[in-house]
Amino acid sequence: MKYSDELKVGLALVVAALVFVLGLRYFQDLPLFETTDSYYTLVENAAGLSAGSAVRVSGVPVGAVRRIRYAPEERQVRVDFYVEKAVDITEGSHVAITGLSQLGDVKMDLTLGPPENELIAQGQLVPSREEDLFGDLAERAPTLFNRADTVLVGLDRVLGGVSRQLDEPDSDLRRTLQSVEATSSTVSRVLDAEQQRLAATLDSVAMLSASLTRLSESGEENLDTTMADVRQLIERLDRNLDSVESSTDRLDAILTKVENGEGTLGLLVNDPALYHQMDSTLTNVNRLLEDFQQNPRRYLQELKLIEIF
Amino acid sequence: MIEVRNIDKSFGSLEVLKQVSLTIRDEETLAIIGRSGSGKSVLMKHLMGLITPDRGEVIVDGVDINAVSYGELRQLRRKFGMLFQGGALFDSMSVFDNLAFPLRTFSDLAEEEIRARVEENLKEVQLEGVEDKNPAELSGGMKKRVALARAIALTPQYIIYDEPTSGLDPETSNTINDLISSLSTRSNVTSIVVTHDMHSVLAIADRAAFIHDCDIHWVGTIEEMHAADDPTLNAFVRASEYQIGAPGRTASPYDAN
Amino acid sequence: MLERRILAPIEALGQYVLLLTKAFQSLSEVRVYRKNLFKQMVAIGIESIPIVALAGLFSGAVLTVQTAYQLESPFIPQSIIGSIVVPSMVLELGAVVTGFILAGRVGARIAAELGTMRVTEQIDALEAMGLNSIGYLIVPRVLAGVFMFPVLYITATGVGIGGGLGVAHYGDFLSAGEFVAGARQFFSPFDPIFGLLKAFVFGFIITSVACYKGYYTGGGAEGVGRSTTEAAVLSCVYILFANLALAVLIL
Repeated sequence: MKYSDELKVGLALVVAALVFVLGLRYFQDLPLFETTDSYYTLVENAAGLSAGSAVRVSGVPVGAVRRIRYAPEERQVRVDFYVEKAVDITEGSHVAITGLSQLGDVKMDLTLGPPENELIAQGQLVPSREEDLFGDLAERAPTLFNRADTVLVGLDRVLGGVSRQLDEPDSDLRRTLQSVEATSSTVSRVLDAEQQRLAATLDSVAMLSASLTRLSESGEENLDTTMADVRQLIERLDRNLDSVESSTDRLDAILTKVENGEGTLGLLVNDPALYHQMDSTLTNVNRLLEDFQQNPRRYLQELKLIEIF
Repeated sequence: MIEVRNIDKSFGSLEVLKQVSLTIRDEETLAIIGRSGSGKSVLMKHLMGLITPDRGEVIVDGVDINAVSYGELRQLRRKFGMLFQGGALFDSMSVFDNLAFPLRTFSDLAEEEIRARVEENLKEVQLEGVEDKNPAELSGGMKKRVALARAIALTPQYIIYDEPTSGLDPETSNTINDLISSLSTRSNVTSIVVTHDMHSVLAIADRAAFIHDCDIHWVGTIEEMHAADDPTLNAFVRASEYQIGAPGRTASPYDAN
Repeated sequence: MLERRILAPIEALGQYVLLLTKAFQSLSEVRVYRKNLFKQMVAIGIESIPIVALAGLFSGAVLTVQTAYQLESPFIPQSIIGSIVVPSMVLELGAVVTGFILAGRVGARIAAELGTMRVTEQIDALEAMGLNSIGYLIVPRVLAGVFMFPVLYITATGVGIGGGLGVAHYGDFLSAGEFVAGARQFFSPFDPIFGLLKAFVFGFIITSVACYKGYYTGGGAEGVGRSTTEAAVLSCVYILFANLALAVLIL
């Protein structure tokens, strides 16, 4: 049987195209004949992922990455991928890039949303989540270190200023600290003294109330003695309050000085630059702490990572 | 009418044609004669634009064939039929396909009409039953005849023969010459025969143009040629003349050249 | 003399480009070359499938055995052999082996064919009939090359990977499963597309160079021989250059 040239050529072209497409799908680990659905996701970092990387559900390949490109409008990396039609991607599904790019074994894990949810339409965004512990940390370690570094630099600068002030024997800070110390010791002494006296007073009040009780129980005959006691008590209380008043006056004087910007404490309170520096330092520390609170694992992993290295 | 005006042609440093002018009149049979390598074939290829001259013009029916577009030139070439020296049959095709080729390419004839035309053309060159052969299976004379049949397939106005009898025995040569004569008597056919075979010239030509030294050395009718007292022309003519009156000879030593 | 030596290649390049320009200009005259196109596609493409498949088979098999030999180490997973053999076939060997074989088979054939047509005045005969000889002879050959080379590349690559896989499996180097797993691990869909692109380019180079050499053959039978040799050799050389250029420009 003789076939026409056209038939032979056409057949060869069709077979070649078929082999090409099927081969491509075979080595991409895609089902040869099933059709697929396309989706995309946006991630911060797609290092190690490449076109052809597997997309897996529960560790089983169900698709592959088709294309990766940086999307300037989103300032993120857009990853186009396709999965078998049989896999229902419902709302609530998300993807995550897993694996170590250093080992070249990066894949995309697809976690499916609840089956009762609506399907995500073809060609739509499937959100990404940075779930990757180990690989992600390795990528993020530098930024983390940078942040810690800026905090430390801020702290360092403050502490440097403080220590410089402390080193100078005549510095404002030193004097302030001395006077604060003196003040606080005075206050403390005053309070100590008053504490005893207050305690005594309160004891007396207790006794008074006890006496009053007794009085109410035993009638009016003791009232006179009681009243005398009370008067005595009030006199003592009055004296105590005088002493407290004088302490308060002295504290007031210190605070006035602070308010006027005298001494380092005053400067500290009145100089905004110093305040801002402290503030930013504290903000940074705060952010670090928040981050730590939210993602404790990341820092724990970091510790692990450091151990490994 | 074909007019060749002052054409120059050289290949590299080799000058082949220098200031050549020639007029070919309608319905005549012109022989272009000259020694081998004198530039006859080159001049002939200029006639249908297969070679472009370095200088000068070739005017076919009032059209400068080197000034028109390639498309128009191809259109113009269909006025020509050409018999090449070796036949130039397409050896990838059978004889039938060779003959059908111009018809299939340039006419809208149906396949049966083409078949009829091919048979008719073959009959005209006195060949039959060779349609299914390959050109390689044919003898030299048969090839020439098939090629002739192909050249006239589209009933051309100008027929150019390039060395139609070279490499053929005298008997086959005579057959070819007879065919050329009968074709040239058709109305409105102009024949140009490039040859160094004086037998052919005497048998078929009305006029002859003698090329010598890169130029048309002499032009005139056959009668004028016999009477000419040009020594170069006479030497060329006389080299074959003794055979003309000697019918007993079977081969000319010049035929193969 | 020196001037000639410098100018001749430039002149040849110009002649080549002009020939191709004329060929592309004739591209629209489909009627002229349609029949011939399929004939050439069969001659250049279909009839080359067996030799190309054979070459691909052996390349893949040898590559596998030699990779296995070089990587004989307990620290390297055997599947790595698949990771090396498949991309090598897809990216490089499939296209280059096909190119070399066809430079000989197709390039020489075209040059000899056209060269013979030139010296026996068949090309002049075509022209004399009022036919566009470039459109009739060159366009279908170059098109056939461009269309059929990818087919041959796919054949060589497919059979080559099959050969590698077979040798790996039956030669007890690694199982077919491991081989495929290794291949999949580093498979990039761009690789076969790049290979296909190479095949297009090689197909164009071989057929166009051969057509150029054949079309401008001069000097009788000896000239045909010279054109044929030059077509085959030059095609190989240009394939090497094009291979490097494509790799540098695209990868």
